[in-house]
Amino acid sequence: MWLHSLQVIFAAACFVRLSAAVFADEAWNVDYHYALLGEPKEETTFFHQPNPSSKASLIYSLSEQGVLGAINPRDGSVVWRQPLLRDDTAQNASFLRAGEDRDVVVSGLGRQVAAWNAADGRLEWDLIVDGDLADVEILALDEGTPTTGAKDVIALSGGEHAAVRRIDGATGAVKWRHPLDGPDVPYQVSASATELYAIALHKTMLGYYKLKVISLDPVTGRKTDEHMLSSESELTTTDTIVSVGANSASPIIAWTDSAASVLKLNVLGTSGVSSFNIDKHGEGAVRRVRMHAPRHSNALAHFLVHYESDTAHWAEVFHIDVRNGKVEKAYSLPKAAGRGAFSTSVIDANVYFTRVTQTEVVTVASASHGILSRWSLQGARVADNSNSTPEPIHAVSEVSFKDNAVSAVRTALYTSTGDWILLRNGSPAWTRPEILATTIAATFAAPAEAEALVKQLQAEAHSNPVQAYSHRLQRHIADLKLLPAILSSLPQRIIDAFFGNSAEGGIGHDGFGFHQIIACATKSGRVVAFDAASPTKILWNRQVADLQPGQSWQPSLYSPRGGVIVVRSRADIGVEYSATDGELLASTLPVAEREVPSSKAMQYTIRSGGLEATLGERSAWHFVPANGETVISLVPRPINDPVASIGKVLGDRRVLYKYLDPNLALLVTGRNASRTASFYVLNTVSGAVIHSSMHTGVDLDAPISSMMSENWFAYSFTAEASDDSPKGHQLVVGELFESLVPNDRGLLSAKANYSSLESGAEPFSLVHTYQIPERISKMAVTRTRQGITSRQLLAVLPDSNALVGIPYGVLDPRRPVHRDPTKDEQMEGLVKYTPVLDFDPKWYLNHQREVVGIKDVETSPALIESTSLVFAYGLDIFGTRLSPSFSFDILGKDFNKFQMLATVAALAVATFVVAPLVMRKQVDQRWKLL
Amino acid sequence: MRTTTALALLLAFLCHLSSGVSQEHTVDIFAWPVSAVKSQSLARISYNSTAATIKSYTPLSVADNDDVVRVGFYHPSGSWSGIATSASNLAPGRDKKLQLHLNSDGEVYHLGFKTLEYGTSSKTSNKKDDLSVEVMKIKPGPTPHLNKPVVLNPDGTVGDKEPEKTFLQKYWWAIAGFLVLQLVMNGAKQE
Repeated sequence: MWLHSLQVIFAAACFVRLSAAVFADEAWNVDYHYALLGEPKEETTFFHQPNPSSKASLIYSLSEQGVLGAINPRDGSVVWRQPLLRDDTAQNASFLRAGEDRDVVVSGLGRQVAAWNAADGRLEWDLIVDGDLADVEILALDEGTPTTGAKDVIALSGGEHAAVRRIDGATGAVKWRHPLDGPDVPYQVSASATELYAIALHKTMLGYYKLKVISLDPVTGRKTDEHMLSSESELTTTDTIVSVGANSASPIIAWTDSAASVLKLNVLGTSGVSSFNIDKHGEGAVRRVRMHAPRHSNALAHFLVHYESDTAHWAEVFHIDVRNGKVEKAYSLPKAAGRGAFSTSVIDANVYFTRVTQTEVVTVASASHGILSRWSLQGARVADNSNSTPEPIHAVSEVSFKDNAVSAVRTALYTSTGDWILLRNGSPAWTRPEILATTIAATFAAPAEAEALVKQLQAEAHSNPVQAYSHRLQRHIADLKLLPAILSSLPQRIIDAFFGNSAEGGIGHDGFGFHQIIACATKSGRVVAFDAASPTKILWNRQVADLQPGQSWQPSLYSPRGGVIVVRSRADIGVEYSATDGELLASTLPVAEREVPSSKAMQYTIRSGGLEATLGERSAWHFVPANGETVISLVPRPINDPVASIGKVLGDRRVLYKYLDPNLALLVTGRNASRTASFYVLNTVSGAVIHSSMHTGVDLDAPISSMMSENWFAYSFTAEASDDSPKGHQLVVGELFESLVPNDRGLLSAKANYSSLESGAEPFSLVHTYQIPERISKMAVTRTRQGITSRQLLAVLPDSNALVGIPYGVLDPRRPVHRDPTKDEQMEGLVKYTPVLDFDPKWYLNHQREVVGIKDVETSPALIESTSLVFAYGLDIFGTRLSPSFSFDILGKDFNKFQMLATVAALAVATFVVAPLVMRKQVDQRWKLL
Repeated sequence: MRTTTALALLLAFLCHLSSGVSQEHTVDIFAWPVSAVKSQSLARISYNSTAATIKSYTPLSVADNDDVVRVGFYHPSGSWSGIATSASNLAPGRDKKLQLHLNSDGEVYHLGFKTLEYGTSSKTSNKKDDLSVEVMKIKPGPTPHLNKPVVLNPDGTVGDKEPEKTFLQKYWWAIAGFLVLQLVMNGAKQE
């Protein structure tokens, strides 16, 4: 019995030790994660109560990136999210609707209509329609059914089989389907309390559009009426259709002429069109007209029209007389400089409009122009030093009333800087940098301060001793000026050091190189930068490319030296920005610095389906894949890829020499007809193939990821079952050696230098294939300053939304197959080969978080050798610090400095106390002996 | 019936063999210095999936100012594939080797070029003057080294083990030894 309990205690102790090995103190501490939704869209963002019985509401949004999610307005955290669209190549219209007092939200994207539980984001039902969705609405029909039931959904789909469907809100079954025949393009559906209207665009012979309104019986789906609206030559494009109201007491449709001088309105169900002239309000032409109307069938039939010119914006409020369908202007809101955002809130039946300008937040009721509340906008500047104020793009608001007065207004505002800000009575409560979800390129840059010192030291090393001495003296005198600041911060730093906070702090004192600046180029032409060690603060955010709507760019970012970030678009010359504050360093680069292709430099690129290399301006070598094969990817060895040792030391102290060529690239090609994928390792100077292999039965629709570093490469793919390999995902790792005989450099032994053009020495390769549980969409490798630290292969797992770091030792192609390792191999750390490589839970860098939609991973060495910085982007932003060989050159957080000092002090005290005693004893002993 | 199927199979096999091995291709290899616009014919090579022979070879003369030479061939589509190599490698008198990289269909997709001081695996090399040629067929990619599969019976049970030996089969030698001992002992007693 005794023994048994002892065993239990021992086992428990072991368990504690084991769990400590995961470094629980480092998770959530050295890593950071932004769970993003993407840019919120105005039409698909709203406040909604997930539980009709409670007052608390969440912000729901279906973003441009096709991610549906709910945000807690209290702290900006994600309550739940669901990625609806995996690839962002298809530009589909998206819809998100919530019924009044209902606990589901209904999304429409592409061909899928889906209902989600508003509280936890679980799928209630979904329906795939034939043809892309043109609109989704919730039917606000009062059929006398009990109000607890789910409300039905109306979906309008386009394409060849354009149709209106009524979908049962509880089950997702189609109740009826009304086909829309003919060439008309379905545009929108609109539902009033009693009627259902489908609006289609009818193209006339002259290329103009006419609006066709089809009235349907909501119960049976039969057509009751059909009429054309606008007269000839009014609508040239669909862009001038301002809005089609929905779910209001009397839905309206509004459009303008192409010059935006007249606003035309029609109350659906009537045939009369009312026209209103748009006042010019000064010099600027009206660029955009938007409409804000309540989406509640029992709200007052009031709406607001928002006009925007280049320099200002203003608005007019209209009322609809429900009985006779007349529209009249009620009042107008004055012009304000810059852009503004309006939002509509409904309490009971009353409608309130909240206006956000660059300086204030104002709430008015729809009935009269009296201002109910006004708050000045404080501290909404997002980046500390941005010289241009962020402009409001769109907003949604929730107004609370107490004692017949506005007590609070919460506004979720999307700004031109790509930040989603919640304004609580005008002051920002939280900010979500949603623009980072559109990152398409990123880079690390060392801060300028570290670089300045390196430069000074270099200057001293390369000048004569006298000059160097005077330079050094001057530098130290300059440094003396900083002494008061250092002295004043000293107590704080000592306290920090005691409590283990030394790794944090400003960019200035960064002994470890953790404070690197990460710059992200976004799809909309902005560059956003933040500090890798304190990612909660955006350092700067600025527009670098002036993109027209619909235009895209392909930026590449790199950092040629510390403190500088170069933004490049395609093959254009890069523009330099300061990494610390985003200032433009040189607006026009001197012509002399233009990169002239050197006559001795081999440059290669993918062109017209193959690889083409040029020497100077003449073509040098070509690699054109055989007929039917297409290039899938090309991964060169990284430019900055330091290798500490040219050989691998074996267990018996002999050496296997690595094949280290800086000009290596891994090319992947695929052939659809035979379902094969070929992998070639190329020498990019001569164009020679130095290793090639071909896999059959490869699923070319699944991602094929590849990576090349040092003298090894890795790739993964999904394969069908064949005679000698099972169906599944495979990871292949290959390593190139100069010779497979230890202590032998093969043919290269006699050469001190060699040229890839002259020699044809081929490496010997060792390759292992592992069966892996999941597909890998992207690979990267950790990088450290000297390359001494062992490496980890970073793999993005798209199916489990994770990022794993696989130690190289596990992948080593020298693992012995079908036998146990010999003593020498054991000394090296090689273990027996196992065909299945399971991802150890300890390898998951994201721990229990879900890192969604990662497209690429960037790594950068820190200043200390043990650590590599990792940054993953795509939809989410995730970053961490990795020590593949553990942190051998830095004290961990568990190191207790106070305890160490106390021990030293105690020992000192003990020495002082014991010294006289020892002395007396020694003296006594001498007397005894003599 | 049976003989006809066997015959058909044999025929198919032979056809396959002939198509797999003896389908001869020829390829014209060109070489031209980086500065030159027009390519010169270097060699004409006929090859199948295992071996190649040089039909003709015209050594290339390179001007002194050119130090890089392209060696390539034209695809049926009109584009060319090839490598860049040092002009000194093409100097007359140097043993050079041309490698034809073949894809799984046995067609050449790329070239390799080296001088013989970097060794030769010469299993299929064929020589003419100072040029030799070898074919390098693309290797099938590595597959996982799997353990022996467990064979199941049709009814889903693990394959039957070897039937247990009987007691006699197992210990016949002990009994025989005992008997021999007995006999010998008895014989000794009787003496």
